[in-house]
Amino acid sequence: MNYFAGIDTGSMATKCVLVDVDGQFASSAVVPSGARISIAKESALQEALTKAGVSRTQIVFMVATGYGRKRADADAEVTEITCHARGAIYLFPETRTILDIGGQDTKAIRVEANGSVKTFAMNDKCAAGTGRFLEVMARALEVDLEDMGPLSMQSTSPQRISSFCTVFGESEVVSHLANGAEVKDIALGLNEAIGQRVVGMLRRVGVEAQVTMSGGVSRNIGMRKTIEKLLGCEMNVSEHSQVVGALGAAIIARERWLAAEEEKLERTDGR
Amino acid sequence: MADESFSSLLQACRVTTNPGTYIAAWKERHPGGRLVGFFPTYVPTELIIAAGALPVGIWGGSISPSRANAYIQQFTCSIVRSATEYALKGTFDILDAALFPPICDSAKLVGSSWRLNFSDRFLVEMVNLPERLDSGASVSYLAAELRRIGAVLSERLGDVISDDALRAAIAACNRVRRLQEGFYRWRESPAGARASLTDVCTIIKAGTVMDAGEYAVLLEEFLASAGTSQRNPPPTIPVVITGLACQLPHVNLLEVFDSSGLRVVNDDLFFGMRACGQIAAEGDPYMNLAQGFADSAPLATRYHSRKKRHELVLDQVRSGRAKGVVSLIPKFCEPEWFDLRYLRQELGQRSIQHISIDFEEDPGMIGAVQTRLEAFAETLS
Repeated sequence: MNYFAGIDTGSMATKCVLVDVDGQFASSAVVPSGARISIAKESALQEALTKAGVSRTQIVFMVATGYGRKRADADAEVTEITCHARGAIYLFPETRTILDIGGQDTKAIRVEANGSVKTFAMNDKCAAGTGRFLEVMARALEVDLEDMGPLSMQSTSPQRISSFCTVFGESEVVSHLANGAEVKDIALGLNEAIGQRVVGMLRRVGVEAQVTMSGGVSRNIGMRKTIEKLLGCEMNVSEHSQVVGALGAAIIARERWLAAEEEKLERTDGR
Repeated sequence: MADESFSSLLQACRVTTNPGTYIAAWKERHPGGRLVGFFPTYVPTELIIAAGALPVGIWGGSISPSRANAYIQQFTCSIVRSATEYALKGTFDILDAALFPPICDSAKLVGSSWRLNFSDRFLVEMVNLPERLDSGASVSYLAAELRRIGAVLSERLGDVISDDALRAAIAACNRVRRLQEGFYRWRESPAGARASLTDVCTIIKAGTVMDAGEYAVLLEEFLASAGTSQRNPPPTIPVVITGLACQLPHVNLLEVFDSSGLRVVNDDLFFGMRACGQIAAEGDPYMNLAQGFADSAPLATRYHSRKKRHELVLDQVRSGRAKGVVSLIPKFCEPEWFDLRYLRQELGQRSIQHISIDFEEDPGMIGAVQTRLEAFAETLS
């Protein structure tokens, strides 16, 4: 049986998703990106192949997305904007707005019912409102990144973080600690700072229900709840939320392969 | 043949990569020839030519503004900071004069600051253009201002600007503007898809460095042999760019644009100079220059109560059959960002897709811009 691979080379993690010829989700893998795109890509692909019990030769088309897409040696490259749109619609067909918070990018995307992108906005030159911002702050608070969300939910009086800059934000965190503030209150303050920024980005593209959240930060329950409170609506979050971009890439890989096969048939038939 | 003539035009226009070499050669051919720098978006270069000098555009460039940062705030656009860095380095010491239009607060700042700091090296003069194009007093006011500038240049350069010399300079600049218009028409045609944004920037920028007559010959020779062959355009998405009237992005950003799947069919690159169209050659040349300016299309820095900025963009979209518009706007450019809201609204009402991207002369994180441009192309395809 033929399979299709989507590779998403993110700044912090490289993701791989395999779908089968019927477009069904087969497996996924997430590995740290490290410094070498090709090594991370091979490692993610191998893990996904093993999980699905599929051999490399069964992969007939591969699409790469993410910042390292041009160096992933795939059959085609598609931007993460388009891939997230396709992946989110696959998981939640009623999605009309997507919020993706990854390691170094935050994206707000409006989509049509068929998965095509209507409009989008991205953060540009700075890490404010991204996973990297949270990672730096977790280190300053001496808390595991995974624990930041649950910890922040214990707070009822958040400490205000006014700076969007990661470096100045860290200074503010250190200053709050020096003043004896509780870690859980700082964690909630950080969620609110990021939340306000990303909700502003969502409002730039216009929020239309349903909203689907993707990216590594979607696994942070505290962050999700803060954004939902600011938005005034709940968001869809899939168990596959971290691999939505790779899933979209795999779906596009399947479509392109099928289109190429169809074209071959037409040529053979002289139609 | 068309490809060969385009390559020759491009090769000849590459002087812009090192204007100093062209200027040195020009000075050798014109012993005692004077050089007058001018800052975008518009200065009547006819006055400079009529004074027997070579007009040289002051564009700034990709240089780290370490000296300039001591004088100018970091939230000022990069053309002002990089041009000042070059001035502090002494790059512009070859100039005899520099003319600045007060098109925005930053341009006023740089003009005044240069006058205070560099007047011992070259003459620095503000050309006080009216902001309103359609006020009853605009034309007579500007004609008087241009006479003043003419007198200041004459005194500094030692050559009196005669009305006949000014009429001849108007004719020379009319020729360049007519040819540039022809070049843009060619670029909209299927044959023009050969020209990347990088190439077009090189060719238009050359017009701000080269002698008007030499530049016109290059364009004339190219247009005579270029034709508008009916070959199919490449499978790229036609778009219009706006926001480039004052500043050029770094070549890396231009190249990213060219590899994004988008094809630029029209732009407002250096439009301040091009928009004056054909200026009357008979009669009072100062009144004619002022009238040419008043009749020009509006830019972010020019206001007209009836002609609106977005109408120019919509015309370009229609004539180039563009599928979308990219606002490529210098960071901290207040006039352009002010106009953006209205442009976005007008385009939205017509369901024309639009994206805005800011840039500085130092390209910075080019990968994020690449993703946004490619995603825009995917959205339009």
